[in-house]
Amino acid sequence: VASTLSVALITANSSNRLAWWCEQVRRYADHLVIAVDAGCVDDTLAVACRHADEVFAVDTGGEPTLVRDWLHHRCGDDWILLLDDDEILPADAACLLGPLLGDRTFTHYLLPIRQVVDCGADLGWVVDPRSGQKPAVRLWRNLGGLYRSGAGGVAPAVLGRGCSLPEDGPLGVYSLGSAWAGTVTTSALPATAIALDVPRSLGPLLSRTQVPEVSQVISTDQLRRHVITYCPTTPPWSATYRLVNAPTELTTNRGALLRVAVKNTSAALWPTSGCRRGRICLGNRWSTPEFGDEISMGDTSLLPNPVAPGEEVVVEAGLWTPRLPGRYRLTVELMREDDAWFSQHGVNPLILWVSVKSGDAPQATRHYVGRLPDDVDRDPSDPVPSLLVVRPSVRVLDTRDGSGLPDAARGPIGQDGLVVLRIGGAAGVVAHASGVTVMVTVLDADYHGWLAVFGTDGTKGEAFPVVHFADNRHPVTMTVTAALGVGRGHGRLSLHLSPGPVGATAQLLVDVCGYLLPAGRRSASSAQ
Amino acid sequence: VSVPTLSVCLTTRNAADRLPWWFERVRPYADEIVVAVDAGSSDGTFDFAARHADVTTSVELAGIVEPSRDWLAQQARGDWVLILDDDEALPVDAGQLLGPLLEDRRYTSYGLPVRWVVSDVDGRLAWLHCHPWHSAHWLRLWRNIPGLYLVPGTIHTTPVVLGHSRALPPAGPLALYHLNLLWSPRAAREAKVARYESLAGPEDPTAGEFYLYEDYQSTVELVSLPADESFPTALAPRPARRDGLTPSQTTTYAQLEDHLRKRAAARQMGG
Repeated sequence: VASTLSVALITANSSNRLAWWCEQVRRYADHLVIAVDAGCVDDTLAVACRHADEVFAVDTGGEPTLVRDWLHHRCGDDWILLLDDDEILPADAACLLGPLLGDRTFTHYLLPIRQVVDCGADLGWVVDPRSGQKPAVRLWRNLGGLYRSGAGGVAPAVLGRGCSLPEDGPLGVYSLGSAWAGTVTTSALPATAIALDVPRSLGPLLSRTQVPEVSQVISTDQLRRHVITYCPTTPPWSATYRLVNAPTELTTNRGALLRVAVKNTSAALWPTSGCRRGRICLGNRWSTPEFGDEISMGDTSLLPNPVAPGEEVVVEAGLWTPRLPGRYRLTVELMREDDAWFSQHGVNPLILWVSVKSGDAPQATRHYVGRLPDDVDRDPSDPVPSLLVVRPSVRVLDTRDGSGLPDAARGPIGQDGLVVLRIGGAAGVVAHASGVTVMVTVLDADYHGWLAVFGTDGTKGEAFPVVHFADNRHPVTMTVTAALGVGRGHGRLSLHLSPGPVGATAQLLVDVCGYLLPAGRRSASSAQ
Repeated sequence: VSVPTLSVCLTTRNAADRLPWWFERVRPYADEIVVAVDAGSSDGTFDFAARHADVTTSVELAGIVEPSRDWLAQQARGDWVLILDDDEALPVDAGQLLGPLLEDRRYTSYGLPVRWVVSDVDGRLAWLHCHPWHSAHWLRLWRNIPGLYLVPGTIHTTPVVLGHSRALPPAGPLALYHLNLLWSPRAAREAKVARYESLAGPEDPTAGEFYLYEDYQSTVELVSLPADESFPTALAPRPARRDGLTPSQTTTYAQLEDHLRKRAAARQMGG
C-alpha cells in the first residue's frame, strides 16, 4: 500500500511566500492542510485557500501553539509532515520520502534541521553543528492515540520506535529564515553550498483583497478545549454511572453480566490503549460488612472506544461471584489501570447490595487463584511463635478524609459500627503476617465508649475492649498488637466501636508500625 | 485507492485434521497466511502448511505458543496482523466486516469479542452467553508496525500495542469463534487445564472454568449461531504421518527467547 502524506502548516502574514511554498510542498504532499491566524493583516488566507486542500482560520488568542495538535487532528493521510512557512525539503524529497513512508519499522522520524544562509552566488546550509538545530520529530504516523503535538515550540511526542535521519544525509528540513534575513556565510559560519530553487529575497506582503469563504473561524475556546482534552496530564477523574440492567439472581462461584452506562464528565479523553498501563476501564470488587474485601479486584471490562468529554458509553461488565453465599456490597467503578480507582479521586462508585446464593458448581475450577477468602492457614486458637518486624509507620485508615487503604471508611463511624481493614499484603505488611502492631486513635467522639481491635472473624468482637474514650472529643491513642484474621478473614483487622446513644459517632485513625512474622517464615514476598 | 492488507498468523502443532478447514475459512479474507509449525509435530502439519500458506516456518516450542507470537508477527508483510489459533475462526463474512476496520485511522488495534461454541442439548451449535466466556475481548488484530507492538512470551499474555484500541461490540457481527469446547472431549480439556496449571504462576488465572464449562452449564445462557454460520462439529481423524515437505531449518526456542529479549530492549515505547 502506498502511504499518503499530509503536510500541516500554521502560518500568519506570509502572503509574500505562501504560494511559492505550496508549490514546493505539492511535489510530495498528498494534502496541504493550513491553519491561518485569523489576526493576519495581509492576504494570507486568500492565498492559502487558492493553494491548499484544507484551510482553517484560527483565532489563537496570541497563543499560536494552541493550534498545533488541533490542526494535526484534521489531517487525513497516513503520515503527517510538519513544516513552517520558511521551511522546505530538498527538491527530490518525493523520492527520498517514499522509502521512509513505506518502511514498516518506525512510527516517526527525526529530521535534521538545516539553517540556510547566503553564500554569495549560491545558498548553503550551515555545517557547524553548534549553530544548527538538533534533529526534530517532523514526520510521524497519523494514527489514533499515537502522537501529541507539543506546545511552546516542543516537538510532537510520538509513541513507538523512531528513527533519527543522518545529519549529513540527503533528507533534511531547510530553514530559510536566515537567508531571507540576509545572513551570509563567514569563516565563523561555514556553509555547504546547496542547489535550492529558492527566491533570494521576499517581496512585500500582499494587501488583503478579499475575505475568502472559510467554513468557520476556529475560536480560542475550541482550541483550548482540544488541548485540555488530549493532554495526558488532564485529570480523567470525573464520571457518572447508570445501571442499565443487572442479574436478578446470583449464585456463588460463577459469572454474571452487568450493563452499566458510564459518562465522561471530565475534561479529558479517556484512553483505551492496547497497552494496559494508563487505560481507563471498568472494574469491580466485592466486600461484606463483617469480613471487608472478599474480591478486591474483580475482572475488568474494556470501554468500547476512547470516550470524549460529555460522551456516554454502555459497558457490558463481566463479574465473577464470590465462592461463599451471603449478602455482598458490589462496587462497580472505573479505574485507570496500574494507577487508581476513580473513587480514590472522589468519584462516587456504583454500589449494589446483592445476595449471592449457594451454587452447585464444583469448587475445583477457580476463576481466582492465589489467596482466597476461605483459605485456612492455621487453627486460630493455636498460638504461633512470631518475630516482630518493625516498619516505618503507614496510615491505613483516617475516617476524617477517607484516606488510607483503598475503600477506607470515610466520615465519622457510628456507634456499634464495624470497620474491617485488609492489612495483610498491604501497607508494607507481608501477606502471610500473623499479626500487626498498630497505633489506634479515637477522636471527636461524642459518647463514652470503647474500641475493640481484633483479627477479623465475622463478629463484632464485643468481648475485647482495647481503647476507652470519653465524650469530650479529645484524641485517645493506644498502640495495639493484634492477631490478623485467618480463614475467610485472612489478613484482616476489625475495629468495633461499642454501642452508644443513637446518632453517636467517633473518628478513627490507624497507623501500622510493624507486623508479626510466623517463626520460620521469611519475608521475601513483601507486600505492595 | 489502495486497500490495507492483512496477514493472518498461526502457530500450530499436530493440526493436520483441522488445517484444511482452517485454510478454507481464512483464505478468503487473508492477503497472506504466515504459519509457524511446532517442530514436535508428527502428523504432516508442516507439509500441509508449506503447501498452502504463504510463509511456513518451523519453530521449537515448549508447550505454549506465546513465545512464538511476536517473532511470527514480524515475518508478516501485511499492513495488519491477525493472530488466530487453529481452533478459532472469524465469521463467514469476515472479509466485508474487516475492511472498514483496517481503514480506520483512529485505532491501532482491535479487541475481538470471543464466542465459545458448543453443541446444545439438541445438537445445534450455539455460543456461551455468560461471563467469563462472553464479554471478554482478546486483542488479536493490530497494525503491523514493529515499533508499535510487542507480544510477551508468557502464557495467556496480552499484546502491548501503543495507540488507541477499540473493543468491538460483544453483540456485533465480528467476533472470534473459539471451537475448542466443540472439538475437544472433556478429558482432553482437563489435561489442557492441568498443563496450564503447571505452567502458570501461583497467582495467575488458570482459565480452568473456561475449558470445563460443563460445571457451570446449568446457569449459562446459549445463543444460537447466525443462520449463515456453521462449523464442523467433529474433526476428521488425524492422518497418518506421511512423507512430504519438511522444514529446512528450525527456529530454536533459544532464538525465540533471544528475539523477545532484543525486542524488549530495543522498544522505546513511552507507554
